[in-house]
Amino acid sequence: MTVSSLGFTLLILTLNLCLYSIIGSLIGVRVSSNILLKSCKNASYCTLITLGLSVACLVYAFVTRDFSIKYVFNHSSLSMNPIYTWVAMYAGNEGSLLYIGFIISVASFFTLLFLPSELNDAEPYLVSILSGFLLFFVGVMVLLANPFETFENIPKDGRGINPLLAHPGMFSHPPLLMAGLATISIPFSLIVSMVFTGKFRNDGLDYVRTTSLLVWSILGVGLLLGSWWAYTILGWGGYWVWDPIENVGLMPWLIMTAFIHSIIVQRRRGMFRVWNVILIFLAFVLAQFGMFINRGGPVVSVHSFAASTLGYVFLGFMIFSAIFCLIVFMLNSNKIKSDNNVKSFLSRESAFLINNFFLVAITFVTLWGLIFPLISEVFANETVTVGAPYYNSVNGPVILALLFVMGIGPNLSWRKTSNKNLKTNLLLPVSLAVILFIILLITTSRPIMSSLSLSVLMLVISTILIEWLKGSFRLTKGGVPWFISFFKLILNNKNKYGGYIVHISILLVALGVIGINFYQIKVDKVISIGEKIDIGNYKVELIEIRNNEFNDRREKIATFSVTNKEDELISIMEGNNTFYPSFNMASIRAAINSNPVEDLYVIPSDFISESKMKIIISINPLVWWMWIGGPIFILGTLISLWPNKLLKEK
Amino acid sequence: MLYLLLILILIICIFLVIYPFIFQNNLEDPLIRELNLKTRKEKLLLELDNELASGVLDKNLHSQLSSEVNQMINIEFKNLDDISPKIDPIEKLIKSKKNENKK
Repeated sequence: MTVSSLGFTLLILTLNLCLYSIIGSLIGVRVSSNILLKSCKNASYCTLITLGLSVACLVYAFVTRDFSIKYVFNHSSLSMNPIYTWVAMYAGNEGSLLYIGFIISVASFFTLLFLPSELNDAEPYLVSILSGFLLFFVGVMVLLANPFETFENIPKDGRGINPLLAHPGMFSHPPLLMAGLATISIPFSLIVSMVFTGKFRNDGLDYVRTTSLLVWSILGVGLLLGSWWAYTILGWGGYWVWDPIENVGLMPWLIMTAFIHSIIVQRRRGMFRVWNVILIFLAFVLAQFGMFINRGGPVVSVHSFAASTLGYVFLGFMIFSAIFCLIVFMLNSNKIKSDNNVKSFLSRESAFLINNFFLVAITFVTLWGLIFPLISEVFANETVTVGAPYYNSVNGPVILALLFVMGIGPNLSWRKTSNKNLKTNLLLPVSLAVILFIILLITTSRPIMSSLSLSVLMLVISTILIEWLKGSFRLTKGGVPWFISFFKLILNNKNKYGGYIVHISILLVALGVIGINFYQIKVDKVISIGEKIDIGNYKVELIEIRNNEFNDRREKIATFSVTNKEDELISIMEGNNTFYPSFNMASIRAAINSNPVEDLYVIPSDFISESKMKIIISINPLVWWMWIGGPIFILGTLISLWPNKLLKEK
Repeated sequence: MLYLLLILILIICIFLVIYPFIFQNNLEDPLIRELNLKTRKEKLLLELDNELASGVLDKNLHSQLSSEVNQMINIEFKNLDDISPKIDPIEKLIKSKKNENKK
């Protein structure tokens, strides 16, 4: 038996385990057999072992460069740096499907293992839905995209890894993004199971929220790492270009953001039940839409690495998911009505609702921009391109309004806020925001939107900090030092203050976005060796151009010296433009000198001769903060997810 | 070697799948639902207390929201029997026995 046949046999075994779990669970519920249900749950656990070993088989094949396997041949070569073996595993369609299947089995395992007893009734449905989802991916692999397919004549060397994927960011960005999209199935399955049992009330919501937060943070970190990768390697000159592949990752994240906010309202006040079901259904269908676009969808993208001819299969699954959601909703809508209604516009729940509205609006604007070219081509026979200007001009103001609600929301109480309380709470943050707005308006010549955006950020950050300070000072009664009461405040209410830390990370990302959109300076020039270009407070000189020839690539490296106005050396930077003949693909790495104030960003866009080249130089203010937002985002999520003392004691 | 590995995995999978049929232990403590509800109630009330302590809520609103939580949990207590279809009839028997003992 070969590694490839073992890997494929394990896939078939997984397929059978899934089928058994689905059919057995449904029969188990029908005939009220707990034993059968437990057996099905165990079968679901087994898929972790079978798929885990199947993944191990593929990784082993890559490590040993087993070119008898077509997938290994297509995504690795003898000259490939062994460090990229893991990346090569999910570099194409078949391997990434195996990876997704494995992630679903891991997530299902832990979801079932830690399922709280209050959701016991939902467990059989959960097992069958999760197994059904896994069955789809394993079925596609077994029938249409076998990662273990072999050649009859074994080639001596492989094609090599896609050059754009040979980057440190690739160790985490694609796997996190794929994991995030795939594991949206977990909160989705939980909600559907709860709806099926007629118990979608308030019990088990902590578990739903925990799983949703995990999924949401995985997707969020994946998106941020993708931005970092785009900023450093793709030569786009930026972190986000509203590319279709970026958008299909962003849309489910936005809806999940709305969901994790509105589920708080359901937990606290028994409201928004129908809305929460709609949101999670929407997130799930959008995740399937993402899979479709990424794997052979009709929209062209610069980085659709898992593209295949299987687009119609994923389109079919997406339509099936949408119909399934619609039927579940229509059949159960009478069981999921809320206990309470919004009593006042000036309330926390109302702020959450507005926040949800804006998030859904951004999602639909993005979706429209994505599908409009298709609609135009099909119905009007016109080729239309929707680019960044559309997204920026429509989504920009909505995002600003969303940030504004983020600043107002924490000042509102649950149920109803009195005008007096609102005035007291808002006085200082609003005053600080207005003062900053006036200062910026007087001192800078930038568009009014830039000043408005920064003022809104001031409103949000001051709201958070003031509440933090007020809360911790109240806890200092009895001589407790302030810094102890500060941490005590966080520990006493991890959900809330973890959430605030996440809000701070979003503000940092927004700061970078504002910096690059409103304060960027850009120069596009041809430069010769020894020539200097003045930009902002810098002088950039091209020192040399080197050529390196390798078996698989031709590399052109440009070295720049950066000095300040007084000709003092700041740094020596290198950017390169590498061409991979076997892929007919060029990879550009920008030269970046980064600090908290601004990035000096040089793209070596074209090498004209041995001494002359075309470069794009820009000064990108405040981008550094965007990347700092990532670890803070993770920290905030971890604090929110940390179990409460009370639960631990129980 | 690879055959042995495959056989080993098959044995593990078959064992796990048939395990519940051999060792039948499917009793669920019916009181656990009540305990869960109590835990949730305490958690929500604790959050409200923290918000009162940090000044987000005033006393009046705190008492209103606390009574709302109590009311919400009481409804769930009432609904416990109605909305939880029992999978195994043996659970019903155990619960009624326990209730008898309580009386």
